Amino acid sequence: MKRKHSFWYKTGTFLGFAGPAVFCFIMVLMVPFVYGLYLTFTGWNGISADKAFVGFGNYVTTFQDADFWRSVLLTLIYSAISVILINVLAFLLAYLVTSGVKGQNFFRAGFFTPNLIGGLILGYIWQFIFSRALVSVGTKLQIGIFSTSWLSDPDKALFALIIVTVWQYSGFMMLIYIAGLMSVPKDLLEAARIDGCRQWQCTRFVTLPLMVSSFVVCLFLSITRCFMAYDLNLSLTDGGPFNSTVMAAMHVYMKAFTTKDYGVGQTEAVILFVICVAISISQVMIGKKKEVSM
Amino acid sequence: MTERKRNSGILKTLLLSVILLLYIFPFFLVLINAFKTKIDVIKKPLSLIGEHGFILSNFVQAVEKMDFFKALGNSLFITGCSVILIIFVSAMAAYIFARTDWMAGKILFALMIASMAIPFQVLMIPLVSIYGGTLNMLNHRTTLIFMHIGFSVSMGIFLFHGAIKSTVPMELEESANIDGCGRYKTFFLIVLPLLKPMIATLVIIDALNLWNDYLLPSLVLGKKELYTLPIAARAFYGTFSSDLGLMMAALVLTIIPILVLYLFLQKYIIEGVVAGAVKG
Amino acid sequence: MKKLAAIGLALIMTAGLCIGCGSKEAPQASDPAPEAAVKDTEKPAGDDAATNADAKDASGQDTKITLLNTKSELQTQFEEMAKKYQEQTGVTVEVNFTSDVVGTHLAGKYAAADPYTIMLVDHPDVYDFREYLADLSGEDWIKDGGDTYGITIDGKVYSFPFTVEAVGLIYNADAIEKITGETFKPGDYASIDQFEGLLKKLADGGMETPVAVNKDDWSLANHFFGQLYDQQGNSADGSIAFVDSLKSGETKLMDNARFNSLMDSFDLLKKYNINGSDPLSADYDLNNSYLAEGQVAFWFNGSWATDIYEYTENIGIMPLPQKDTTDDVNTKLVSGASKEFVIDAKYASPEQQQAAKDFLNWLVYDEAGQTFMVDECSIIPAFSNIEKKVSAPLSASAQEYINAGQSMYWYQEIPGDHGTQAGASLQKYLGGNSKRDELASEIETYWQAQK
Repeated sequence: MKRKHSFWYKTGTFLGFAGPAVFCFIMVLMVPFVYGLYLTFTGWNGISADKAFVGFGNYVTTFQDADFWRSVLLTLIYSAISVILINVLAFLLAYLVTSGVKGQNFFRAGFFTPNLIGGLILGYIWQFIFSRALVSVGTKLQIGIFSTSWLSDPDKALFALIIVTVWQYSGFMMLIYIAGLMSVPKDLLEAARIDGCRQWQCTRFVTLPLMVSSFVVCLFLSITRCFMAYDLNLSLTDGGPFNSTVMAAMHVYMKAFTTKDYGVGQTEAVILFVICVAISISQVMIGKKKEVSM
Repeated sequence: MTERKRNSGILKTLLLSVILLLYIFPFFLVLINAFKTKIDVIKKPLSLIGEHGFILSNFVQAVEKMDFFKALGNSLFITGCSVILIIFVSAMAAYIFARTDWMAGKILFALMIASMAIPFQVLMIPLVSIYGGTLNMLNHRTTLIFMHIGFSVSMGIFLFHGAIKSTVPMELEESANIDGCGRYKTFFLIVLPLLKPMIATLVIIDALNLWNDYLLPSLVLGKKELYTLPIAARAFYGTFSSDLGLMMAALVLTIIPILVLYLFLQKYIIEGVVAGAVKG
Repeated sequence: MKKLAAIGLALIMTAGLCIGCGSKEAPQASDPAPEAAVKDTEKPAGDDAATNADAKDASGQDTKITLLNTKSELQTQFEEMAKKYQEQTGVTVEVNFTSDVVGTHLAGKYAAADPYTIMLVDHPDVYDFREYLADLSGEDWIKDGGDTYGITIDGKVYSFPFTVEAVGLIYNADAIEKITGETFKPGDYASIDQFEGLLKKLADGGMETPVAVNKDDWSLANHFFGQLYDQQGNSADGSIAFVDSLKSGETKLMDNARFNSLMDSFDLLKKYNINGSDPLSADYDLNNSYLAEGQVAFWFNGSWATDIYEYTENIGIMPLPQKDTTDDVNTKLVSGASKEFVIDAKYASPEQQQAAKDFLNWLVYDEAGQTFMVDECSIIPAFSNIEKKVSAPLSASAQEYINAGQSMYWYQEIPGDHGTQAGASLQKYLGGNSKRDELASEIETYWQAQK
């Protein structure tokens, strides 16, 4: 028994449990990240063997890059709207498909299908829907809003991006909400009902508090994913019309590989990371405080 | 069942069906266009059957050009190994993070959560320079599996951490401990079974992410015989124009295995939850 | 206890960071290597040219080289060719393909120290990657056209011109003849007035919108607007001088005759654009099929658009008619080598490099190599010794201009972001969201920001 409490035994257990995950994490993420951080202090073009040290030059350039900050602002707007819509819809769907509706397995599978189609091709399909299918329907039925392609108008193109994002991720988040809803003990709900709770009261006072961790997770995942959206941005709007929908990740990518200012691109990506962490971590902190421990 | 309840049931089903149509419509488009010639895909993408008739040749060609079975084997191997390992290592790490309050664990946990916000673009070139340029480890499936684990443990730990805190009763573990179960035994015999719903969820999430992943595998696997399905399917994207029919067929072929897995696991989520709920 | 654990973990972390530091230094340590590698290969490059033909059999037997193809439409042909090449020479050529942006793909490959032996790249890539590339100045094919079309940097040729392509107005002669009732000869419509007359005639004759205009930024900026840089005295020097004057801010586009003439023609195409009401929703494949099926008569694009043949072979490519005819822009077709083969000199072994050079020689001088390029890939070869004629209508049409000496210099040293930046400005103009002077000032701003 004494052995169990010794420091080395505890450390051994800790490493035994966390070691493999931590090792992979450090080797695959932290090490390249640190190297990437180093690259932000170089004027590397991404190709040459010459990586001249430029100090904080790239950071200065980043703070002066108006296009970058415009793309960050756009990303913030896009993310805020998308995150709210994704989670509202995902929770609603999860709630509906766990409420004993006929064929709920079928529905669950159906809502999840958007995730089966990987990144780029999804954008191409929606591009077709927005610029062709909707337009042909719109012109025929004389619906003004659909008669021209949404993708050729800067504001509508942003909404097109939001719609597709919500469509894609709500099914995914639904899955996590389902897992959360299913883990709410049935007897707890039963007891509440016996105590005279109405349906919505049960949901509000029993289910929701027990699902805080699901909300934290889903909010976190949707924030980070929206913030780093690249594939969809590329394949649906390609930044267009006339670069009005270039979001931060795309701007970073273009800076690094199209303009061949790798150092600046890397720097902007790091800044983007800092912003994203600040937002998502504070959300997690707030959420974790509200979490109910069983 | 009361009248009102039945009505609301019908209403719900109706509402869900309408939403469902919107959700599967693009998927449906892919399916019908996979059986058309390229010109029909461009001209009449909405019609059920193209002017050139219902054709299967896209599938035959896609299988041939992608070296489909080779790529399928690679995808299965890489996704399968990665997912199993991810689940084990992240569940274990999440458990120890959740049940000890060491500073080190907290710092690591915070680092991992923060790391999920790192844009892949930041890591891409450093990653290949380290593993390719310095360690010369690229072009091995094992390297890719290792990287998949590294990139996925953060989310796994994050999700398991939440699930352990909220659904695994501490008393159960304590009583096991009193019964003489060690940490490992407690974890594998008591905690892990209770995590079934989250495991199933995570298997789906990870399997899907890895199955469809293009960028990382394309950087790591530069040899044809190692190609996974998404890399192989990229052959149908052109610089100026793509062979759309083939693309759709390749997509359908890529989706089927993962769809089967999803349908299979979905049942498992429900079973697992029932089992857990009885104990809880 | 906790403190100790924290220290332990901190140690692990530091170890992790040290690995990070170690690996970040590693690439620096290997810095001198590329130069050394390049120097090493320079020597053999010079004197092996003469022995190329014999070296093939001697070094070839068990050499394996890798090749990157970046033209998706030619992937099947490349694979077939590799099989034949192995039968003929014993050298294995592994053909790879990517549809990613070539420069980005190769940046990853070079970072991973794992590039291909031979790579089919775009013009700007040769400049970007030159420190890694083999000097090809001593090769046989230099004298047969390699020096004209290959890319020379600081007196050394670094690339092998694989294909010559042309940019211009593609026409569907069937569609035009159906309405006008007479045989279509592009020469008859070389002036802007004649061309406009024809468009009117077509519109009156039932084809209301006889033109398809792409909205793709690369097409608008690098090909259409690129003519502004091409048509500057029909020489590299003229184009470079013009671009330099844009960078320095010396040239004001609104006062520039070529700019205004080009935009006048653009306005004309825009007026008759089949995607007229919503020009930014144009679709490349759809434009392609409009032309193929004769719904439009003209499409501004290039000789690579080969999907049309299923419908008609009576098509061709012609220069875009303009008001300002300086430099004979209305009769000279913009053309040049658009895809180049380069050989890696840093990571490929000397044997592989030699095998790669042999392969390039095979393309130019071997009957089978010529058949591959001209007959199977339907490309216009850049080499004067090849007498084969291309049969694909668009390439054949472009080849006529080139053989008749009617070709216009194609300026391709455009920066990588010209497509997205200038492309965005042109999209704005095409969509009616900006005026010509706004376009001019945006383009001027773009160039002035270039170093």
